[in-house]
This record gives sequence, C-alpha cells and structure tokens, in this order.
Amino acid sequence: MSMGLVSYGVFFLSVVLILGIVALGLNLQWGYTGLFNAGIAGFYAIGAYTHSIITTPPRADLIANMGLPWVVGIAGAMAVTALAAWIIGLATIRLRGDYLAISTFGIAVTIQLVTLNFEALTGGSQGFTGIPRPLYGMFGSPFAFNLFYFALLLAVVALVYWGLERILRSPWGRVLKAVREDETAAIALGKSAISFRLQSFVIGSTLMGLAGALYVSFIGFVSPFDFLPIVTFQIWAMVIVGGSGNNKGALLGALTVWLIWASSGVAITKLVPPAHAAQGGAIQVILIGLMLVLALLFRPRGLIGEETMVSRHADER
Amino acid sequence: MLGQAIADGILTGAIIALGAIGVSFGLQILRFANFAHSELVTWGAYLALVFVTFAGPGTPTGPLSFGWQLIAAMVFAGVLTGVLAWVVDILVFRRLRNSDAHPLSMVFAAFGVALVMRHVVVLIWGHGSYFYTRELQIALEVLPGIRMLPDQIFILGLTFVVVAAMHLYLTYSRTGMAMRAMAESPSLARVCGVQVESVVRWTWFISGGLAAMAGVFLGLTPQLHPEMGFNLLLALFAAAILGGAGSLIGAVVGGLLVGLAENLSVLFISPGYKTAMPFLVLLLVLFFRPQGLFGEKEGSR
Amino acid sequence: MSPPLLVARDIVAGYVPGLPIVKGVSADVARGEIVTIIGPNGAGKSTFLKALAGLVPVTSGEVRLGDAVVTGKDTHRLIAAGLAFVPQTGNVFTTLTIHENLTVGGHTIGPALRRRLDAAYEMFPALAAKRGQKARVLSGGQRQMLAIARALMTEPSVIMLDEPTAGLAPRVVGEVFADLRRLAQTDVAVLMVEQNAKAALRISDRGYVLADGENRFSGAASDLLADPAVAEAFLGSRRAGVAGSEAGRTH
Repeated sequence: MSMGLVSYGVFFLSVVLILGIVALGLNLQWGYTGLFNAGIAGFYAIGAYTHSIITTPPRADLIANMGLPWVVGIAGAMAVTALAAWIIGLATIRLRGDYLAISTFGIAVTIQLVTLNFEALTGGSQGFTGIPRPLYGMFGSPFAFNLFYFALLLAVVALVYWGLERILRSPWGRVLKAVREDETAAIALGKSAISFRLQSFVIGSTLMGLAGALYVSFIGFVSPFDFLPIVTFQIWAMVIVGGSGNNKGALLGALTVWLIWASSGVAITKLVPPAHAAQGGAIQVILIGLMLVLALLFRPRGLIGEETMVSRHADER
Repeated sequence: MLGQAIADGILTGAIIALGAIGVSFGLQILRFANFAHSELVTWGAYLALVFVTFAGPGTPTGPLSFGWQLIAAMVFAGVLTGVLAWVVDILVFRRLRNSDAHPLSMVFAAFGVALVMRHVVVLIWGHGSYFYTRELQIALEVLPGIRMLPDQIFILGLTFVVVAAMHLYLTYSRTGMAMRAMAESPSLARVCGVQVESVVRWTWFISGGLAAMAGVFLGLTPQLHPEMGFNLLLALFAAAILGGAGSLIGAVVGGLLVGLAENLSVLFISPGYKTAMPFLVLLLVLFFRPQGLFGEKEGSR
Repeated sequence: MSPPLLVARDIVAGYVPGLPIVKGVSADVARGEIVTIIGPNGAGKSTFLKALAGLVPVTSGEVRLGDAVVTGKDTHRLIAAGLAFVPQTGNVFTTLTIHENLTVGGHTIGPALRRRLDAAYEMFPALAAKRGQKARVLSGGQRQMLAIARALMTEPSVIMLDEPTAGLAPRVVGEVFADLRRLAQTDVAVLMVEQNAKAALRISDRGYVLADGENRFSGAASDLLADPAVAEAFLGSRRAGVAGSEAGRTH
C-alpha cells in the first residue's frame, strides 16, 4: 500500500470520527429522545467558529481573535454551543416536534448568514486560516501530526461513547426513554419531562459544537462552506442508516455514509467531465437524499436497529 | 423610502403567501412539516420555463413584459406541479403515513425528498440563472414616491383573485369543507364518509398548484435559479405558523407580515441579514403565540 | 321481530397486531331496536364499536350489514352502506359552523343534501336557530344533539353511539335518550355503548355485558336489569362501570 493511500486513509477516518461525534450527538437527541434537530450544521459551525476565534492569534482585520490555548478553545466552543442550544430549546422544545425542526433549521440558516456577513468576526465568505493545531510543533511531518490527531480523535470518540452509554443506562437515561416512548409518562412528568428533553438537546448540541472545534483545529482553517445545510442531511443519513437509538449504529452509519459520499465524489470527478462539475455535485447530493428516503421506507430500523426491548407500539392508539 | 419598502414587502408577501398556503395545509391537514414544499415552488418555476422555452414568453401585452403564453405556462406548471406533489406523496409520504413509523420520519423524508428534487433541477438546468423574458420594463409611480413594475402589479392582482377564489372554494365547496373538517379531526371526517386519501390528493393538487404560481412569480421578479424555493423555506414556515396552521386567511396575512418584516428590516439592519427576518418572526410567534394569529389552540397530538 | 340488521360474530380487534382489545365479541341489532352494551372500563366496548365502524382493524370474525359481509371495509364504504357512528369525544367539528357540520355529515349523499338539512333542522329546532355559529359555542347537550343530527344526515339504517350521555347533566341525559327512542320509532337500529348503564337499559330493548374484551351476559334489557348477578357486578349500587371480578355465565 502506498504512503499516499495510508495518509489518505488516516485523514478519511479522522473525518469519520469527527462526524461520528456529531452523529452521536444527534442520536442522543433523535434516537433516544425523539427530538428533531434540523440545525446540526449550525451547532457544528458555532463550535468551529468559537474555537477558531478563541485560539487563533489576534489579527488586524479580525476583531475578536484571542490566541488562547487549544483546551480553552474546546471548552469555549462547547460552552457557547450549549448556550445557543439552551436558548433555542427553551423557546421551542415544548411545542410539537416539527416546530423544533423548523426552529433549529432556522438557527442553521441564521448562523450561516452570520458567518458570511459578519466579516470582522468570521472573515466572511473567505473564512480565515492560521487556526493552531494542538502540539503541531512537536511533529516533524504533517503525516505524523495526522496520526497523532487520529489517535486523539479515537480517544475523544471513545470517551464520548463511554459517557453516553453511561448516562443512558443511568436513571436519567431511563427517564429519557420513558418520556420518548410513552406520552402518558411524559405528561405525568409534566414540566420535568420538558426539562429532560431540554437537557438531552443541549448535551447533543454540545457534542456537535465539540466536533466543530475538533474539525477546525484539524484542518487549520475555517470557512462557511464547511457548514452548509448538506452537513445536517449527511448526519441524519448516518444516524438513520446506522440505526437510531443505537450509538454503535451511529458510528457505523458515519463510516458507511461518509464512505459512500467520499467514493461517489471520487467516482464523479473521474467520470464526469469538468464542464459538468455542477451536475456531478448534484448527483452526490441526490445520493444522500435517496439514501435518507430509502432507509426510512425500507429499512426504518437502520443497519443495526434500536437497542431496546420496549415496543414503539406501546403508546399508539 | 418607507413607502417603497412597504410596497416591496407586500409584493414579497404575496408570493410568500401563495407558498405558505401549501405549508399551512401540510401542517394541519397532512399533519407534518413538509420541508419539500419549497421545492414545489422551484419546480413550478422551471416547469413554466419549459413551456416558455417552447412557446416563448409571448409578445408583451400592454405594459407587461409577457403575453398570454406565460399565463398558459403558469397553468401548465400549476397542473404538473400539483401532480408532481401527489406522485411524491404516493412514492414516499403515503407509505410512511400508512406504516407505523414515527410521525416525524415524514419530516426527515421531506428533507430527503427536497434534496433530491432540488438537485435534479441542478442536474437538468445547472446552477445558472434563467429568465422568462428579457423585456425591459419601466416602473410606474403608483403612489408618490412608490414605484412598481407593471409585472409586479399584475402579480399582486392575480394573487388577490386566486386567494379570494380559494377562500370561496374552501368555504362553500364539498371538498373544501371536507378539507377543513379533516384539518380539525381526521377520524371524525372519516366517520362522516370523507375519503381521507381523496382529501389528501386534493390538498396536494392545490398546494402544488399554488406553489407553482409562487414559483412563476418569483421567476418573473426577476429570475430562476435552483435555490429560489429553498431560500424561501423559512419565510413559508414563518408565514404559515404566524397565520395559524390550517388557516388560508392566516397564511395570507402571515405571508404579508413576513414579507413586510423582511423588507422593512433593510431600513435598520444590513441587507445581508434580511433572510434571517422570517426566522426572527417565527421564534417570536412560537414563543408568544404558537397557535398563530388565526389558529385554533393546539389539541391533543 | 325483524331479522337482525347488523350482526357481529366473534369479533377480534385491536390497534396493534397480536394485542387484541376485543377478543371474540358477538352482538346484533335489528331495525327499530335499541341495544345497549355495558361493562366496566377497559372492557373493549368502545373498541368494539370502532371496529364495526372500520376505524380499528378487525383481525378475525365477521360483520354483516343487511345481506352483505362488510368485515374490514373502509369507513366511507360502511357509511355509504347505511351505517352511522357517533364517537364519544370530539364528535363535532368545533371550528366549523353547525350548518357546515351537518353538510360534512352529508358528504356522501349528493343532491339529497338540501332535503336532509331541512329534516335535521326540523328534528332539532335548537340547531336551526344557531346554524351559522361555530359548533364550539354549543353546550354539551347541544353538541350531542348536533353529533346525532350529523350522523343522521346519511339516513342510516344503523346508528352506533359511543357513550352519548357522557358528561351530560341528568336532565339532558333524559333528552338524549328520548331522541334515541324517537329514532328507533322510525325503524333505525340503534346500538350504543353506555356507562350510564341503568338508565340506558331502561330505554333499551336488549343489552350485552362485556368484560375483558368478551361477552359476559346478554338478554332483554329488563332481564339484565333484574338479574342480581348483573346488578351486583355491573350496575353496582355505587356507580355504573365498576369492574366485577367473578365471571358469570356467558351466552
């Protein structure tokens, strides 16, 4: 195997791990709580931009850059994303499920507008480079750094996975499930059912913010075009194809969907003449859309299926 | 300045209203947030483009930039878009509706359908912009300091006529009444002998037809591009929810208010943020009056 | 007495496959007859009616309406075949006017609509006075009246009612029962489920007692009222609808 391929493999898997964290966040919200988040790209972007602004050294053309350490950036990214999720959740989580979808979708659109238009903060459509990579100076080559970062991501994913499994098996997680499965239980819990939902929503979104931060400190620059709405749909495809309500499924879905996305991208660049690049890109997106619809129609339980004995029918009348 | 912003707001609002009616029906009669509705707007515009490509936009009639051909194109697009909406229902939404899937999986599917529909447009027509007509028009001063293009005045007039006709249809026709009945209670409507699938079919036809009309109007002022509907998505939902899900008058009033909010915002904030205004409106409505201006309080659901 | 018009045999029905709520119930009703189904909460009475109306899937058993087997038919076909159903809750469209409620009730009848509207207003003058108003302004008794009038728009041969007197003041209960008696006089078959068991049986010709999704007792209404076993378990002196634990004889 050539070095180039190994190097690409490490890069590819790193992206899968980062998106896997987003998918785990969504799985908590959708798979375990039944909350519909259509603004994943927005929360992912909040984390990414917050981290970039905190860690990148001050520059004349950008007003807020701080040049603080990586860890501060990660913590800040998570905190700001959590705050944003809390505010939006507070307003909408008590409403019917599809209204949460609309609001979160709106968040993503608004964030995108801010990243494009608030140039002094975000660098506008160009974004900005120079986001420090953690411990980059210690490695002789980009490849060595990528290996290190891959290991770091593996550790983070393992930690997130372990943490999620733990809280889902705790009394908190059981209440969450009861709230999702059983409308009566939700009503009986009243206000506290809403607060459980809100907590799950905030935690899930915070993970998305974390992933955004990990992404920009991996590639070293930030741009609005990494946070287009398509990201939201890709993550959905991951969770639904993998099997919602199952953290292993979310990670497997991340790998599967990203493999299809990346390889269809490669195939299209090879097969489609450059003059029709727009059409090629369209085909790639159509594939994601089809994957989503077909999975919902023909394999609603995903590749792995839900990890639960409780019947979804229990509350249907 | 203010007067012009209001006039522009009313025009945008009229177009939003036509799209929002379908979203509103979707929320209340079909009982899900159809995020693919904006793509019906886009498809309507492009289907009319197909007609115009063959028949031409017609010789400008009076002060308008087009002739009868564009009206015919709009009818053609309206019918086909209605059928398209119904076909998508048969292929995707009906299957999910009749399965024991989570109700929100319809919303997921709608996003998937939207992705496919939008990018099929890119596949066929590319990313570039198209125009129905390149006739130049001279704006008329309709009121002191307020200028509108003749085409825009035409759009307002036709929207008013169509909305009034829809109102009469919903109020007095047998199907219209069944649609309102189903909006309140599908199970009681069934007991009355209403065939649910038939009402669903009519709802799609009407929603699709009105969406196509909105699309043609958007394309006329001034161009078509693959994201024309998608960019309107939040405005459609804001208008439908502000008006109250299921209410025709609500969707129209909601559309006008959202259009006004968008255009008046330009007086205070950078135009780059104009498209965030519908979202702001939406958040305020959801926070203070989630049932909307004309909506009934949400029942058990 | 004429042969039964609506016949249900060994109906098994429920919302979820494999979890039947109605586990083999039989009942019938003839023209001009009022038949009441009583039983404790959770006995499957409501589900049984909904199954007959095509609103809940029937997994086995047979429903006959007149000479035709109508098991598993769509609700709108059953309505067209002469069945009518008044649900217990949400039985009027509150956002529609009274006139519109009745018109939707006559959704399937075509040109006969005018005549049927006039007939409905003649039978329920109180509704005629308020025809242009939204149904949400009606009192509980008037709503029930509207619900029944709406169901009658199709000139059904069988009308099924799910707890038509639930939540009504005692005087209004009497009015509703009187309306049903008048209806039976016009040769309509009336099949209802009632919690108000004693009062309902007093105006009924026959009755069925269900428990746990199965038939427990059946017979002439007067016999059921007089039967000590039924009285003790199902017409309880405290209030109707308290579950009896001991099984009685089945018919």
